Amino acid sequence: MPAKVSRVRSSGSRLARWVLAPVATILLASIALYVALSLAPGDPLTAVLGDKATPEQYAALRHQMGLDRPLLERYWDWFTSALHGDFGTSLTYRQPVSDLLAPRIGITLSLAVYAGVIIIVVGVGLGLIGGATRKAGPAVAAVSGLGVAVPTFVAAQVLIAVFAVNLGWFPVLGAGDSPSERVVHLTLPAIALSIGFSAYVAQVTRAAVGEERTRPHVETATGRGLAGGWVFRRHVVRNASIPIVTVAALAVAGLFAGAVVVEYAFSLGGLGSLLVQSVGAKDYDVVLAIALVLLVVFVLTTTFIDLVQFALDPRMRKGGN
Amino acid sequence: MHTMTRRVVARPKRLLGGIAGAALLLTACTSGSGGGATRSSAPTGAVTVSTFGTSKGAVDQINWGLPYGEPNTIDPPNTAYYSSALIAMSICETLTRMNPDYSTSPGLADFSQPNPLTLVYKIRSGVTFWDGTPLTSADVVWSLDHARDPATITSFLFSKVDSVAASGPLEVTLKLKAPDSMLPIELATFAGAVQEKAYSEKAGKNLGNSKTGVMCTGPLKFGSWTSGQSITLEANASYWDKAHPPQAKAVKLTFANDSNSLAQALASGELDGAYEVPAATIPKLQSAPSGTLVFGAPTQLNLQLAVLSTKGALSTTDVRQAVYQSIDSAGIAKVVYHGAATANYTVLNRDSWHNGQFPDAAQAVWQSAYDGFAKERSSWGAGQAITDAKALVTKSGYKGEPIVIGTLAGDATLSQVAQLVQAEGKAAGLNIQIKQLQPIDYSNAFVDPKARAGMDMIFTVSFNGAPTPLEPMLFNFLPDSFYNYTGYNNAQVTADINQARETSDLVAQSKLLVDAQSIYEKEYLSMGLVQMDELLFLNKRLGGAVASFAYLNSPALAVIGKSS
Repeated sequence: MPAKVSRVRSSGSRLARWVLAPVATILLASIALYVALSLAPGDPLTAVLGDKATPEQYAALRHQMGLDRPLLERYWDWFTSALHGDFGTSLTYRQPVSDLLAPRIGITLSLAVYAGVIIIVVGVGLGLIGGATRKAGPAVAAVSGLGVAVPTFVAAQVLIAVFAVNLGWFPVLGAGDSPSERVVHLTLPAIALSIGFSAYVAQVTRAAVGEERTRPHVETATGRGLAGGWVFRRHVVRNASIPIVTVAALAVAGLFAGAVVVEYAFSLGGLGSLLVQSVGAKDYDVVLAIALVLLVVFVLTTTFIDLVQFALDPRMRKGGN
Repeated sequence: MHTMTRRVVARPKRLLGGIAGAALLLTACTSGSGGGATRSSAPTGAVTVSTFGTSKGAVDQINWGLPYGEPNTIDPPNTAYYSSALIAMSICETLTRMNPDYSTSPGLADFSQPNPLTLVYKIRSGVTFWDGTPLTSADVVWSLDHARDPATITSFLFSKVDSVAASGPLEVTLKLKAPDSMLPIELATFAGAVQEKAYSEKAGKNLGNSKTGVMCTGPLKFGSWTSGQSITLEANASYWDKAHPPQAKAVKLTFANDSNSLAQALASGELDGAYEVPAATIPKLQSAPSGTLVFGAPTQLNLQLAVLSTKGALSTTDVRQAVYQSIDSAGIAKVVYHGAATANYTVLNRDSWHNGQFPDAAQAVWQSAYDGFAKERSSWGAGQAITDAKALVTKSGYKGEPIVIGTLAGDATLSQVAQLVQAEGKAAGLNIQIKQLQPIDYSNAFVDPKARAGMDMIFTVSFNGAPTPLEPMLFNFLPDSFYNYTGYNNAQVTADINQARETSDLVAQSKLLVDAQSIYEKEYLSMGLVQMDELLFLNKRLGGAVASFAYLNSPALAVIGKSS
């Protein structure tokens, strides 16, 4: 996909690259999702009817849910309805999937934004400090090495034990009702979620900055007596920004998937926990809708990265070799 | 851990209503301030402990945790699971109430049975739904027709019902095709919950979901349900039963699937309480200063090892007995359930008959039979019993073929049991292998023969919805029973069970069922391991909670009030 340095010359190939390719990716991946889920073992109706239902009850519900129709026909119905914003009905909750997604998207989105801000501030900040000064370098390397190694669920449990149970500063469960409560409730989850990603972004940033600092044009600029800060901003950070933006953006996209663990640990009830639960219950329409949301987020993010690279890297615009 | 072999649960209410009622019910687990779990062992014939503390008055808000997460519906006859039944039964009422000790008393109606084929419910006058509409027989008829609709989970309970009709503005009559002593008890469970006809018909297939909710008469009413977040119930200010008013102005239920964070939230006081607290959190919660972990009884929760196939390694009674004989049930209760369970030596868990539904004379029939099994089986799992099990294995001609036992992946409690059973079987010369099943596959194994292919046995955590042995026996030991995986067919057992269902005299009924039990227990097709206490955690600021498993048939969330 998009995130690789190559040349985009004609407007036709730009259209293909930034519009047609993402759309095709979404289309093909959605077919794969649909078919894979249908072929997976397990009968979704068990979760609805329980295990004391008669075969007649199963047959009736199967027909009512349209599960007795051919696979491709079901896919096409689902896909065309999804284009109109109708993601079907949850088998488990017996109500429109969009009703289930609406409150949860808000929570996952708030969590991802909160964590994203932490990642960019802490990750990029630490990386810049580590890359810019020789003294801080090893310390940043050590801290980020540790951060990358801490599994999210461990971070969540430690944060809960220390800050929620012992100190009582933050709640253990739930996402809060009012906006200010939301911020308080999401603080520990956002930190838990961002630790690994921040550390990773810090490592990449530090490496990128370190590499740029030793480039001949930077040394030349410094040798010519230009101000250190100016050289750092103009020649180091700017050139290092391509890998930094790429990794930071992928990290933010990854937050949506990574939120699963954190949402579960803090009982947040976002998209991630609904996805896990729905996979367990084979609640087709819900799994498909969430997978589609995640898919779109990923495709949009990679397309966005490609556009940013295009803007940042003059080599991509000029064409020629 | 939810096989739900038996589900069906119902609701009644009464007693605990805080204040008055609670005094009656012996409060076994009285405080226990330091947080120690208090155990309620019940001597035979005595009323078992079924409530914890007393409510000394109303509280503003209770924050309650749901370890099994968000309910899928709160439409009562479809609430087969812990979360959904707890909520449905706290807001909707049944014709007959079920009390914490599992006795029944009049609820929305007075019950009478002029002859074995006729059940008459005389509906209380002056009862209104939350929207002010008076309760009439039309609502009751609609609700029972809804409960016996084939698309509804409870429909199988109505197999003997011929018709349901209004016999007056405040009277409903059920005509039966054959006598059914189980039905009146089941109608004190969620199968007999009454909803408003007009509201329900308008709601259609949205009835019970997060947007539409339900329209009932209970002490708490449906407030709001934020999908994925929480459900809030509110006090019903115009509740008809002035003797048992709601004890909380609001109850907020939070979905807490993760056992760790549930335990943390209970320990920190963020949540005031929860039913079905996972056994793995017992050590942590026993030492929590915020409240008390209560072991409640009577309980209908039990763990069994069910034989799925007698075609392979388990083809002989001898080898099946050897499997059972190698297991130390008391050890499982102590080690895995931290003492919040007791060994259970029959397929039926003891509290299926040891409860307020059964008079002493009937309990004595069961107890005497149970004592026989306990005498034979309580030494199993160690010493001579293992030596004898080895001899059975040799005699059976078993040659070390794998005995595959299915269990639920990710369930820490069942995994521990599985490891113990595997190790104990090895000592008796049995090659037991554990197969971890994903939740949907595990559920399907109970329903679909294809899904259980390749497995010889499966661990099942089940509960009886109604406090009667008839329910589990009907599900397991008739030729066409739902959970009769092995095609078991014994003419005497079938005759006993069918006759017992038609016998309303509980002593006579018990004798018939005990006779059936004495026959099928020798086949070792399902092995009772332990009966689990209901695990309730309650913050020290609260009291008056139903502690028995009958909470699932009670307005459990409406009766909890302040403890001082």
